[in-house]
Amino acid sequence: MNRWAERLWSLLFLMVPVAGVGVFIWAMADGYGMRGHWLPENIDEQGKVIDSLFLFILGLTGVIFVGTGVALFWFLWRYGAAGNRDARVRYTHGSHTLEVVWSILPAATLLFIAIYQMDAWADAKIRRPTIVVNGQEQPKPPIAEITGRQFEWRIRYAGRDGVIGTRDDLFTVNELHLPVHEEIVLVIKTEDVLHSFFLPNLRVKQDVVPGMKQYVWFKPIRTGQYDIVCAELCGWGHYKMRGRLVLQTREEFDRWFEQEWNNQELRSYTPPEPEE
Amino acid sequence: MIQKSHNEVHEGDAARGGMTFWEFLNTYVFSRDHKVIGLQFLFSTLLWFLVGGILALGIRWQLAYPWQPMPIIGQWLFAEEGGQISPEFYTTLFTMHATVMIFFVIIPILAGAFGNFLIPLMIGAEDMAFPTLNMLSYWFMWPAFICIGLSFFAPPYGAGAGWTSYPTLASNPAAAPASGHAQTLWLLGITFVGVSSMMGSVNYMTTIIQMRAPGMTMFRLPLTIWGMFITAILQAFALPILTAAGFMQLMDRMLGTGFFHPGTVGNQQRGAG
Repeated sequence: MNRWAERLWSLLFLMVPVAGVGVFIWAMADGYGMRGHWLPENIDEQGKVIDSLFLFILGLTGVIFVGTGVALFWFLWRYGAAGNRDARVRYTHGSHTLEVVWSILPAATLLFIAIYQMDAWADAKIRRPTIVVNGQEQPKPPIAEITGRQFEWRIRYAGRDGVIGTRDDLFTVNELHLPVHEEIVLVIKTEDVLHSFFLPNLRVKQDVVPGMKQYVWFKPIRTGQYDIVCAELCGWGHYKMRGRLVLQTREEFDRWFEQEWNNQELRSYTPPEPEE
Repeated sequence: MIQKSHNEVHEGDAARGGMTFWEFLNTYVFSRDHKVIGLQFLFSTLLWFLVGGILALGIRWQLAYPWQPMPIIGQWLFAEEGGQISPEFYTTLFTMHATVMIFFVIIPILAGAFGNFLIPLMIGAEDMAFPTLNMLSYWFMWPAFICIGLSFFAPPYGAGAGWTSYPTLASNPAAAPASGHAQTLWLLGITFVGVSSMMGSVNYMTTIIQMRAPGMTMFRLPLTIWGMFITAILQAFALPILTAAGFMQLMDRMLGTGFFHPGTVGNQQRGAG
């Protein structure tokens, strides 16, 4: 390979980190051809914490990615065979200092990430919102129960008594209405196989495991319609297991609830009178 | 008189066409020689590489041209869907592609082929520590090849529960798409792969620890051998668990046990959770 070919290959390898970083920046800027390829709009109060964690880890791995890419380019550019025919090769039998450094640095970085994200994890998965009842703090009860089954989300709202599992519950399929600016708690379970309840705009994703009940919570801050997705392969119809999340003001939500509840009561099946 | 070595006698016989059928079987088919076993692994996995590649083409076609008939073979394979790959069959395609590539190409080509061929050569050993076990580790792959091959012909024509085979999707015969025999054959096949890899890993670990040439200390081992050694340790830890889990899924499907089904007799504790 002659000197020019070596230089050309070096530059081609340099294009990898350049193009990699470029694509990310282009997607972040919502540039032409990349619309909707970055994170979906965040509409959760705590979502910015998850996003900042994502960006932090992306930045960290990005620096390593660019560093290794540039190092590869430099070695190809500087030490190619064509330009160093008379150079003497220096053999090395390893460096303990270097080995210790490149073992400790990644370990320390991973440990730092593990500690840094603990608060976000606790907020998302451990510290369930509470309410005070009779002077005692207790976990906030869920507003609805979501049941995954091949290939739909069945939703059961607590009725006027605020308790799920009683006769006044409201049932819907694939359509979840919720009020904004309130701490929402949902209980999720599955009737058949593994599913994953995913609300991309609320940065909520939770596996739904057969035989277990899971709780998720969030605080939406914007009204509108968003996606509910299954994020775990759950069978041949997994691709179509999606629902609609409708976020409304409290007044709109109450109106919708009342209307749906009345409709449900009208639709209820009444057995015919027995024939004489 | 110079005593001829065993190999020289065999090579002489073969050159004169004097190798009997049983000798041929022993030398080239049910061989205990690490190089022959390495080559057997290599060519078997290359064949599966071709199968995995063809399945990948199907995946890419569906992604690139959804709802369009597949050229040439579409009408033949998917006549009921007008020659198109349905999204449902796409699930089967990526499950089988991943299964083939991971269990029948990547693992056996790296550990089975290169491990067998290189480990004795690079550490100065005559052969593997357990040559018969080594031969068995290859031949245990064949029931796996047959089971996975048959699963393409059993309804619903390939497993579709993902290469991870998560229960209860994979273990419940009533859960689509695991409702046919394809998933059962898949689980049988992977169980055989697990047993084969376990036999291999025991051999690699023992050979590397016990059969290094004088002066070849652990810290003088080539990095390749260190990589294979660590891989063998990981396999020895992980595969018994994975194989047992696959076997329990099989029991759930075939004998109605309840290892993975909450609320059934075998899983009261989990069900209560």
